[in-house]
Amino acid sequence: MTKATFDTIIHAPNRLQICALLDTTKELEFQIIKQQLEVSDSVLSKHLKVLEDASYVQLIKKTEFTRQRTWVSLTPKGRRSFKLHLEELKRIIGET
Amino acid sequence: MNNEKQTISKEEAAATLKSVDSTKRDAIQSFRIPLLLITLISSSCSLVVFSWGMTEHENMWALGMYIGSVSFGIFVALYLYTFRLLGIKVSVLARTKERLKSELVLAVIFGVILIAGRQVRLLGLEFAPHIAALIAGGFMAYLLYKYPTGEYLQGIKHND
Repeated sequence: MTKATFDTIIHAPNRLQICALLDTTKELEFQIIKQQLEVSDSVLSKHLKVLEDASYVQLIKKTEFTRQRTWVSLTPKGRRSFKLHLEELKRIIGET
Repeated sequence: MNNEKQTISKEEAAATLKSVDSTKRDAIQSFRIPLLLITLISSSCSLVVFSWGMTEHENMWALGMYIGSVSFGIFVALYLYTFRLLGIKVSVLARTKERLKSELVLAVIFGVILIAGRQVRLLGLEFAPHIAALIAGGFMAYLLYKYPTGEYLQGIKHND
């Protein structure tokens, strides 16, 4: 079994919230994440880029009903890292 | 390095876990589907349970079961499509062991309600299918309202 690990990429407040949001569903559209986090397009793009570079999220652009939509999802690696990060936080507070 | 060792205080870790939990809860609350759709899905679920409980060789309740099953499928597809239009793709299949476990438990619960409704009526309690249908519909409505994306959130314990 993989050990719980503190992940500095995920721990940044906005990125942690992005991962938490993505963990509740299969995929979310960029605009939904933006509304939930109440941040600008550029701020969200910057954080998603960091997560994408770490292979934690996957961004897919699709045209649906003549509208360009960007779908964001956690990769298996990202989902695992997020879970391990939460486990490490629980370990720190002495829950596990 | 991604996973470099870092220490944070117990308080900070607790606050972070709390914020993750509230982010998930707020998101799930805002992801709720229209009540009409919840009512339609629950009603078709009730129809299946009720019809199964009432079906006999000489009556037409089997038709209710087929209509209920087909409408349940259509409304669930509409529910997934509504979410997709809103910018949310819900995972239909279980991704984690916890979700697989909870889905199996739910399948067993609905199975027991379905079979009990019929068997208890055959034992003599005439209103058993009515009660089973009410329980199944009510429980389905509760699940769709409380956990619209299918993710079950456990409460986070905080050691103060």
